Amino acid sequence: MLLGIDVGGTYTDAALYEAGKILKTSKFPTRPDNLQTSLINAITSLLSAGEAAGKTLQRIVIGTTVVTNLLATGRELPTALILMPGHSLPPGSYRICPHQYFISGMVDFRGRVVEEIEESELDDCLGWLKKNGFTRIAIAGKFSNRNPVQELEAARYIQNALPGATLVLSHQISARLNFPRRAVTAYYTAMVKQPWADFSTALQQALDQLNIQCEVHILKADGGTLPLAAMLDAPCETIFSGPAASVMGALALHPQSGNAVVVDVGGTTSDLALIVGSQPLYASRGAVINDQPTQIDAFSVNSVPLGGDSLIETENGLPVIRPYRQGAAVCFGGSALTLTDIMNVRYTLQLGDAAASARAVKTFSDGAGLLPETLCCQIEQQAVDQLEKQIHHMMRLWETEPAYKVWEVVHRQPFTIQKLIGIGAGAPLVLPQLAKRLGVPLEMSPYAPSANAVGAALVRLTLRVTLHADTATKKYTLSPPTVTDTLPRSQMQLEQVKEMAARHLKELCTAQQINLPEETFAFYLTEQFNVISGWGEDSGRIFDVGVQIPPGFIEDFTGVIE
Amino acid sequence: MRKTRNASGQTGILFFPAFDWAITPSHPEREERLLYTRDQIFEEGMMDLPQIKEYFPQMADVKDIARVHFHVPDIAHRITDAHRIAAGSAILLGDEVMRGKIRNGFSIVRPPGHHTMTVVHGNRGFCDLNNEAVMIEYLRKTYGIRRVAIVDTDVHHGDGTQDIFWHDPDVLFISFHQDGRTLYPGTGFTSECGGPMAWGRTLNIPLQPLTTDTGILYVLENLVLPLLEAFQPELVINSAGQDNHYTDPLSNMGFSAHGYAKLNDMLKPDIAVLEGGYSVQTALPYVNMALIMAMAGIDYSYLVEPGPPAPKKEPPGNMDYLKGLVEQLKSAYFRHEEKTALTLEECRRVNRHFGRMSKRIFYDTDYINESQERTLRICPDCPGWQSFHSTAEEAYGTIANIYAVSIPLYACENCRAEAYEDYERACKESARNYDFIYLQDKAKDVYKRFECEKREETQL
Repeated sequence: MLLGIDVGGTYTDAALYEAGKILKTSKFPTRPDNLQTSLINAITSLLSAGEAAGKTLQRIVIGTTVVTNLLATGRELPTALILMPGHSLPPGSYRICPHQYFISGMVDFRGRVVEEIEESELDDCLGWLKKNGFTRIAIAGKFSNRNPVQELEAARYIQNALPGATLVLSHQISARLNFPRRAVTAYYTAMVKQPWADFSTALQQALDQLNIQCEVHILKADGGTLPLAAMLDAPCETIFSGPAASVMGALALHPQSGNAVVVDVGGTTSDLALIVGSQPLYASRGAVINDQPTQIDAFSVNSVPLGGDSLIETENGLPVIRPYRQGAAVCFGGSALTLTDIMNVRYTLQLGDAAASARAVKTFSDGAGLLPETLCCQIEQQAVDQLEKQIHHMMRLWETEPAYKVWEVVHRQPFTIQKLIGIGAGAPLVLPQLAKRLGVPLEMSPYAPSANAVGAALVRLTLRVTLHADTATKKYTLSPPTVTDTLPRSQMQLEQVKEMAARHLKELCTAQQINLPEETFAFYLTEQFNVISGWGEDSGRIFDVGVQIPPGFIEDFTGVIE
Repeated sequence: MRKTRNASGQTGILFFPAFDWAITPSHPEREERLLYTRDQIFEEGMMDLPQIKEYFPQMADVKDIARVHFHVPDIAHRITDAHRIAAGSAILLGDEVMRGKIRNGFSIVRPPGHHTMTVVHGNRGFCDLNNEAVMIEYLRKTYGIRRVAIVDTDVHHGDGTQDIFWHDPDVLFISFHQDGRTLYPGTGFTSECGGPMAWGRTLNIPLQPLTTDTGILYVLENLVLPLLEAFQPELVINSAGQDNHYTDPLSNMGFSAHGYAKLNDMLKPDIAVLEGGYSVQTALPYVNMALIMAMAGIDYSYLVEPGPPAPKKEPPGNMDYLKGLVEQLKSAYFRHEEKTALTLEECRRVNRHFGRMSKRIFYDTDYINESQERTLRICPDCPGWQSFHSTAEEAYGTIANIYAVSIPLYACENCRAEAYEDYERACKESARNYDFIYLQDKAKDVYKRFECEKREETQL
């Protein structure tokens, strides 16, 4: 039996699954001041339900907003960021955080040190750290993932003087190029590392007390999981787990999606995601935190401020849908007209107190000088327009993603939607009309309102290994964790480099006690270039290889029986 | 100060390293050329900056290519997808600038093109297709603009671009390059000033080896900028080669990344298109950063390439040489009207309205020797139509013999009629002398090829 929990801003959704059947789902209001209690309540409530009797719990997967809240609510966690940007963009172009400190030192794209760090600068930096009492420190240098020696040097110096400080180095964040994103991610990681560790410990203790012995996994932004202990090093990957859970839930409930649009209609917002060839699309610039792109892989999900509880008002005499809610729908006890009420009347959905919806619609339309039918039509039109516009925008973005190879340009296909997949409690309200407008079939599962929790329960571990090998410098960088070392041999072919990466991925799996067949390993990057210096060809090659366990479901999953 | 076309907006970047295309596996013009540039640009996070807008490449249409070149035997034999993408990318950025969607654009693409001339029998100087020329003729046709200035800052003389616009008084072609006596292609002297009706609209600036930032910027400030002011082009293109760098292995100049940034900053081109540059590790990543920063208006004063610094002092006597050169070229520019008036008068006097020139062209990459006779119809009302008789030979004998007729974009009706007549007469009467006869009507987008042996005409 698998248990999936998605802690959202307003609600916590949970689902119990076994052998193709969803045994039970539940919904609780989230207690933002005590997420741990929300989680434990959800777990105990489901486990004590009749449907769970006599079954063994194998795994709990949790999507939590702990880190998202820490980063967004601005809880005071002052963190210092030490930057080694070398000599190109002016220092003023780095505006990552209020506590930045620049030091010299520069590594180039081949991992060669071209400028040493001045020890006097490290001294001054330490003075600044001590004076401000920083205990959370991130260090980021350009091309540190090609050669981390300077980040390590600065870290050693600082850790010796401040043994209690939390230090995060950007080369450990990601082996991918993009120094500003890596620095941002390192900064946020340093900020939330300890609070996340505290939450993680408390959660484990609470589960121990309940005598829950099974594996506990955390859901990441890329739609995969990692065991609780493994998340300690990368707490920022737990952000945006809500959209990840929803998208994976949609894929679990609707296998063979082809090219599809997933729309998750909630109370105040609708989240849209593109599925290309049954695979979810990643955000090309990484997740964005506080307007800054990061190195965190997240699904590309766009939000439209439109949901079941969206308030209906008039503006300049015309009915409009507001991008916010005032309260519940009238049919569920609220006092102001919402989108739910409009659709309830228009399509006789029989939601809650349908008569109350009808009365509210009549009152509003009389006030606006419109026939009730006209009001409903106009509002429906606006809602569908908004969603359609966003979908076209997302398709266009996908079609114009930059490409760097002739093959990619020649083979780029326009995105044609094959179906619409609806999830979330508000899906039946507007999605049938949207599907009609787009001219595609709509698929909605009876489990649509709990798709996120179902998704959380069923997803498997994801892991990405990157290997950069340079046979001319005889060095390689392998990640995670980021390690640079000397190559085992001076002559290497692409197949051998791929093998090296795959072997590392296998080792990581074994360490996590994950038994996945090697068929699941997918190479998402294989590049090789001859090294040249000046004119002519040196005997050397640069390889960039990436192999991953892509987002997917646990091994035995073959679909949900309705 | 010249007013740029668009005062505000983002800088469009199209980065297309064509990582899966090369001339041959060991040629310097190959995939890895932009590898470290890619690493540098990505690591710097340039594409995330708000001032930058990154584009997806597009392919040029065959008509866009036929509008500029005569590829022998045809475009399909000489042009690959990579070429069409390189040219198409320049066109895309040109479109965006003309429509005001971006302030300016930098097309960082491979392969380069400025050594490709009007007639193309094979690869020359690593080029098969002149990206800038294709972009310019597309933009002139599509947007009805007329006057364009090309500043070729590649260390090699842009002989291809010079050839294409030789007879066009509406295109001001200025080339900075290392003196032809010391470097490929061995041309680009001050005496090469343009055809009889475009005299003074081609200006060659042969630089002595080891000229530094100071010398080059002196010429830019005292010659190029004032002449651009006088010419008032509707577009300024920087044919941006990066082999002027002091570490370039194929040449001997003394330019630095900072110098490149300053040149671009002062020139303010609407579009920059990458040409050559083979110092893959020590120059390209930093020069490309410098160019992007200058185009986007980002402070580049902190940019320094690692390694030994650029030379600071000009070679002895160089500043005097450059001062003299500037005066000479300025004078050539301002004699344009005088020279064209003399030409027209001479034509009237002898009642002959054609100018002829012949040359030999060597294709270094493909080892082809071409002999070419080019005729210009001298017309008081328009740039005039042209014809080319071209024979290409390889070591073992002649490989192609062609006749081509070209009608410029702004041709007058008389010239157009004459040109069509000439083409048709050639097809009827002289077909046995040639393998192929071509017609290129830029204004009407009519591109014909007559295959003489089969007596078959095809039209694009």
